Amino acid sequence: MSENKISDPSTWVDKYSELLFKYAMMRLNNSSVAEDVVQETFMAALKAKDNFSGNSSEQTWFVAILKNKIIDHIRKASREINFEDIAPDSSDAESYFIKSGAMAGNWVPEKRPVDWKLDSNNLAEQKEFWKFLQYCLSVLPKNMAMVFVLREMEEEEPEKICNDLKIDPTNLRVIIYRARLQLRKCLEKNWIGIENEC
Amino acid sequence: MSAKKPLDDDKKHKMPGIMNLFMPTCEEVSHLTSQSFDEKLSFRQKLGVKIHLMFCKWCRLYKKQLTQIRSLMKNDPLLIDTDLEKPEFNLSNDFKNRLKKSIEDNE
Repeated sequence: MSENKISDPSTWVDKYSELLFKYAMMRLNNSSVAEDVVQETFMAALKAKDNFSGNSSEQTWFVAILKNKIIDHIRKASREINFEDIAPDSSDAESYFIKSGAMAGNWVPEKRPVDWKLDSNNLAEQKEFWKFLQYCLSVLPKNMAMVFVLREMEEEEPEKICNDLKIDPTNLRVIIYRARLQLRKCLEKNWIGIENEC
Repeated sequence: MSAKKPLDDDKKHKMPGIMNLFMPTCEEVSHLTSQSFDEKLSFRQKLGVKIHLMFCKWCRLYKKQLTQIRSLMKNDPLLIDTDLEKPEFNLSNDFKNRLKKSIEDNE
C-alpha cells in the first residue's frame, strides 16, 4: 500500500534489540521479563510490518509497539500485587512530616526538599538523571514503581491506570503520592547528593 | 487528621495569624500538589495551596522537584543515544541469536 517499506526483518535485531531492551529494563527492572517483551515486540512487528506507514521513523514504530507490550505486561503483573497495603501511615520509617505537637504537618527537617539547581539544557545532566531514576525505581515498592512508570513514563491517564490495574481513584492517588515523595527523596539523596542544610 | 491545627510560628512560616485558619499544612499541600499533577483541584484547594506556597519555601521546592522530574521524563536519552552504562542492560549474544532465529522462522 505504502511506498515506505520497512527494512529487512533480518536486520532488526542488530539495529533495535539493544535499544528496546534498555527501554524495557528501565521500566520493568527485570531482565527476563524485558527479554520477553522485546521478543513479543519483534513478533508483533513481523505481523504488522505491512502496516508500517513510514510516517514515523522505524525506531519510533518499534518503540510504540514495545510500549504497548510493556503496558500489557504491567497490567498482567499487577494481578499478583497488592495495591491495598499502602495505607498512608503504614510505615513510620518513611514519615516525611511531623506527626504531633505544634509543628504537626510540617516537613521533618531532614526530609525537607532542597533546590536541585538543574540546567534544563544540559544533556549530560539529563543522562545522569535517567541513571539514578533507574536505581530509584528499582528500590521503590513494586506497586509504586508500576504506577509511577505508567503515569510518568508512559503518560497514561489516571482513569486508564485505575482500569488497567483495577484500583480505585483514591487508592491510585495515595500510591502515586507515595511514589513521588519517595522517588524525589531518593533522587535527591543519590543524584543531587546534597545533605540537607536544614 | 481533619481538624485544622495551627501552623508553627517557625521563622520559615511567617504568615499572618488569621490565615492560619485557612491554611493547609505542608503535608496537606504535598498531597494536593501531587494531586494537581493528575487532576483538577477545586477552587478552595487551589487557593489554599497558593497561599501556603507564598510562605513556604520547602513546599515550593517540592513542587519544583515534581515539575522537574516530569519534564526530565519527557526526554528519554535512550531515544537519542543508547549508552546507558549498566552491565545488566546489555543483551547477550545468545539471546540475540535466538531472536534472529525466531524472526527468521516467523517471517
